[in-house]
Amino acid sequence: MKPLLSLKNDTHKIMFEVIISLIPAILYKVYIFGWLGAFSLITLIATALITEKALSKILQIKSDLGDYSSLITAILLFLALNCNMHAFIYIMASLVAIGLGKIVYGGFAKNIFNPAMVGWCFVMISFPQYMTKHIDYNNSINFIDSLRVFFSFYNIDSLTQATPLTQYKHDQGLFDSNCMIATLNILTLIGGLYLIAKRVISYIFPLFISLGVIVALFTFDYELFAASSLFFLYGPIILAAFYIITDPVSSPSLVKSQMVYSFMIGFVSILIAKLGVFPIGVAFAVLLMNSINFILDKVFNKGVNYETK
Amino acid sequence: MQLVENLKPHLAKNNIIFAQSLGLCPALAVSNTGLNAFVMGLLTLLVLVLSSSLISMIRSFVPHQARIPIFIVVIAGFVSLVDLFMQGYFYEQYKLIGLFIPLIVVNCAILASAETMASKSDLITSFVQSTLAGVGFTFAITLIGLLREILGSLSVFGFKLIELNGILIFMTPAGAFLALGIILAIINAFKERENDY
Repeated sequence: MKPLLSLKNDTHKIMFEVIISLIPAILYKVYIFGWLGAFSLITLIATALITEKALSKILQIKSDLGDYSSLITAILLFLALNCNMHAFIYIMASLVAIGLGKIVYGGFAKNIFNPAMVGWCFVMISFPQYMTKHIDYNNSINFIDSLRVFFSFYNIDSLTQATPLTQYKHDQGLFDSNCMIATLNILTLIGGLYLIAKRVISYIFPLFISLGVIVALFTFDYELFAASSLFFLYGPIILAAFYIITDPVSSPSLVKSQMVYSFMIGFVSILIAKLGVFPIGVAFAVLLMNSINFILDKVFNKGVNYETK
Repeated sequence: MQLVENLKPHLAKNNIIFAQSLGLCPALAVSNTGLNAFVMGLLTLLVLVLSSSLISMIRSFVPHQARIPIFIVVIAGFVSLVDLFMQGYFYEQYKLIGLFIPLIVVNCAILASAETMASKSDLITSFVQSTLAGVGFTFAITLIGLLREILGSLSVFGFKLIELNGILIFMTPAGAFLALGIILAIINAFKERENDY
């Protein structure tokens, strides 16, 4: 149940565990998206590492852990974004995630916000026409055609979408071809459970974000079973619960504040989905709660029975 | 030549926006395109020069305790003048930024200039100083507006460079903070380099 930072000596090992646990989900996503998946993964990782190296050199930041955390950020971005967009969007996502999300605060472990979510929100607000487009699956596009799609702004209407929630929001119904997203989420879940078993992340985060989502679904009169299976199985909640809100740098360190933090992220995500224009607001909820996690830590530090990690 | 030498610090090192961080409200709110930002800068320059000159003229019989309300009344008078002027002669532009023109009254750069400089110096000094500061403000807000316009819609003063969508976030208020942050970072980097050598 220990966050990463308390184990300074084997932080490398723990980051390695995180990457290992993500491998099934990455491989499956690359498989279902074909060449485009591979291109976007390579672009994200390359941009992240180059940005990290270049900016660290310019600003004279020395950190041997920065590379690992950039790699994880790029992988999380890959799992959170869909794979039918132009190369430029991936480059911007990675660049902003590492540059504005991490380096400007002084490098690894000094950032306030979760870098991957900063990058995601940036491209979501900047390129909504690409991020919210619905398209069906196809992993049979050949190498040359994939390259052509990847490096031009032509639309391709034969690939998949980031999340079926967009479509649910607009049509109040689902296509039957979304079991691949569900499989991807289940692979992510397995990776997350592996991390909990290895005691890399705390079980508090997934538990309380789920509670938050369910309470919000009750509060806002969703059909509980349909909506919860929808949000959990097809939405980004599993990825967020195990990999994004557990980021030790941008989450609170006391157990009680971790509970409030996770619960509020779940609740606010559904609130944004209900009131806003976006299908689900996990990323915005994460950024919002990141900005107050110091206050949460302070509030609960005054209590009698607090635990420091 | 002397004038250029005097103007130089007001463009970056001693700039109202970049160094003193005053007048950020119009700099962030009205800088969504280069043209809007430039017009806003000009109007602020006009109000700044006129109000500083008048305040410097009346400074000897303004009671010290009541100076702030009197300065505000002077500034508000000139702002109404500028507002009506824009409404009368440039109605198209007025429709775009008209909401923000009355807000020049609460632009703290103007009040700061009145309080720290105009109420203590004679007419000539106050006129020259406020003109320089106002030109610096116009330069800074136009720079922010141009950066946001180029990144956000890939155009310069309304002329499209490439027929593509830009990075939309720079057209939103959040993008204003990002653009200002980028410019400030570059200026600070240059300042640090200057201090090193």
